Amino acid sequence: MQQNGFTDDHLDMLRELMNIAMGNATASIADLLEAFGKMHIPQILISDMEGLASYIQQTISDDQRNYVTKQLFGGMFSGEFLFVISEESALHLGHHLYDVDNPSDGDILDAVIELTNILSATIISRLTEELNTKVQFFVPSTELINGNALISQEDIMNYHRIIIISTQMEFEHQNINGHIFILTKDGMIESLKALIDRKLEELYA
Amino acid sequence: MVTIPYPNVLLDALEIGVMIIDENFEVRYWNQWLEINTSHSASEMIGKNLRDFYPQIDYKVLARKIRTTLRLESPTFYDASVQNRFIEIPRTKITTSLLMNMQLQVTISPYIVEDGMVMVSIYDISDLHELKLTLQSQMKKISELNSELHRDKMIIDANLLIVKMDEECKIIEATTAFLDFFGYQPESVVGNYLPRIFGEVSVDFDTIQICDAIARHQKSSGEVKAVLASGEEVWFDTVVTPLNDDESDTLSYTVIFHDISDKKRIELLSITDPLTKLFNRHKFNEVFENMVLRRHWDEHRTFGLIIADVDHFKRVNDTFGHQSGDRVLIEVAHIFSQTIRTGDILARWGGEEFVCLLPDVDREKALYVAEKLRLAVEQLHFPDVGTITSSFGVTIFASGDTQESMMHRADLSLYKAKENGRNRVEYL
Amino acid sequence: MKILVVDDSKLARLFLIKTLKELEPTAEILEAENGLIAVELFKAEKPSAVFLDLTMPVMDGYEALKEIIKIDPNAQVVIVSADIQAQAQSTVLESGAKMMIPKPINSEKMLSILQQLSI
Repeated sequence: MQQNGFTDDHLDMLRELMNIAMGNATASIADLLEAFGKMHIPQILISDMEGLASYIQQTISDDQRNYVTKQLFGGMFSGEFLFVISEESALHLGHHLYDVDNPSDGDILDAVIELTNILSATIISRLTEELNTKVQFFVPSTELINGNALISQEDIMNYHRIIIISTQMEFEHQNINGHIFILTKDGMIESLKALIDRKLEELYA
Repeated sequence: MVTIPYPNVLLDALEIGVMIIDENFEVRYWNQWLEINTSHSASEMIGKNLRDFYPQIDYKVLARKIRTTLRLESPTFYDASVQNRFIEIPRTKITTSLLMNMQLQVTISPYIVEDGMVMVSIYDISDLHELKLTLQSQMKKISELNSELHRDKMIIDANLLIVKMDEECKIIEATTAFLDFFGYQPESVVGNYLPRIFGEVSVDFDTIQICDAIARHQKSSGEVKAVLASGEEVWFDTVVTPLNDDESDTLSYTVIFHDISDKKRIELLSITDPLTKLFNRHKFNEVFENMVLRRHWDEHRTFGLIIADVDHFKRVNDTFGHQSGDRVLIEVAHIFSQTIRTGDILARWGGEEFVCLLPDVDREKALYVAEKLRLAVEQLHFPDVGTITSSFGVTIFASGDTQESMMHRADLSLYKAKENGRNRVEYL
Repeated sequence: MKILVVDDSKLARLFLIKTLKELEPTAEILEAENGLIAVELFKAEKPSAVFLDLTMPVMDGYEALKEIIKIDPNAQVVIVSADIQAQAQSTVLESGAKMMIPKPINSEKMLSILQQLSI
């Protein structure tokens, strides 16, 4: 099935690369944060802003507040990395990282950023490494929002073609659960396709 | 790798604080920005431990962040949105300062990974943060205002009967109160023409004056009566207001219906005879006075007065009882109002006596109408009472006449009718 | 020899098979895209070795491993996974896997694996 020039092989490769990148991420987290993570099969979707909005509606529950951390990354493969974690999970995370009974709001926020840092750094770095290209990270920002309104209404108007790589990060023991979205759009999709094509060539050579 | 001469000069020229520390928090480099803003010189800091100068930092967490940076060989960020979690640097700004200490953006980057050294860069984002705080409080205010607005809107929707229409008298919006009052579903109202909605049997509503006002693009107000499906009569004071957009092009018309049924009913009580529902004497006198004093009559145009009286009414009451008597009066009133012409004013004078004003008649016409009334009464039939008759006194207005003089003449002619055998019409 | 390759990603299987075939061109390769099919194939074909991924739909690698060991406690199962945490490693070794190798497997690693397996 063709989606905007992306064949099944492209999607499969991207999924596999994401898988490997996630494997690295969980290993790093196990090391640095002492928490064992369960991996989930990553989803790859190609859609537009409306599609993204409805996908987020389906994936993130809207009956609680969520910490949403957004971080941009740049280079031949550039885009936006999002990490969404519910208030409850964030509390457990803060508890785990700050070793106090009642982590403050500041502690929790910092914990969320720390986890996001590790996730984005490992996943994006590994992905770009596999794709043989460099990456630059920008400062992340975090917000506590009600429900699942991650995207502002005004943005829905802009038509973008977007690749959505999404997966779940679960730490059963610590009762921490989060969603990862890696978004890249328009011109970047071409870039990414070219990079994946190179990889496929190696494989089929 | 390109070597740049005098790297220290470069780092000192940057408008950010730069320090180099190792995993044990020993300071290896401290740039000029830091010297100036922390009032610790480089010579003081280098070779010393950060803990000695800034004991309040959570070093367990800092250690972990440094470890992460080194392991991942990637920068780690501190977001400064909530609290300053690194070194405290006082802010020198005096005007508009919500913050006492600088809001810092801290980035830990790998420097020499094998030796466990990292570079910590500090960027002052206080102004940005202040802006953010101001924006947040404005947003909060807006949100509160919006909630108030929404609440008001809800109150209006639930309590006031308001309809918004376009130029063609087609309904764009209707409040819930409006829909509930008439028992309509929004689907059958919105998008439909106002006269068409009320043209159904369910509600009898004269919408002409409303649509007229809309057609004339004018603000107007007026009273409108409606008869609901239950038969109940309701009265509204309607106010039609055009709504213009910025270029004074009319976008829509708002019609507010103010229920004045109660007021109307009270009004009617004072002018209506409760039994027959005709005008009472009070109202009749008012109209009579108006007719005599304020309207122009001459030999070509004049008006008539008829006084009618049910024959032997006392006998009916005594023989058959007051209920039967009342029924007779109601039926007579009914047949009278069916028989008179539009524009004629009928009233119950009292007891078994009725009066009627006939505008624009001459002697012949007045007598004609009176005769019609007499016949109509003659043809009535009651199950218990049987048949009845009535007598009529007729007169017309002449120059110089007053209410009293006309009434007197009509009375005399009524008396004549009674004397001459009843069930007849006499003229004076 | 028969070798069973289990992974939900077609490309991952392709890559592994390619590397494998470079060293064992005559090997008969069986493929499965989830744990359930893997167990059925194992029962039916009795391959000499199994390369097993962990994150798969329907039945994941952990479950499939347990089922395969039940059928043959001496099965030569190599866990090939993106998940390289120490805890994952100890779990699968306890369940009877012979080794756990991170993806992707290059030729050198493949040679070493084949040498270590008793096939």
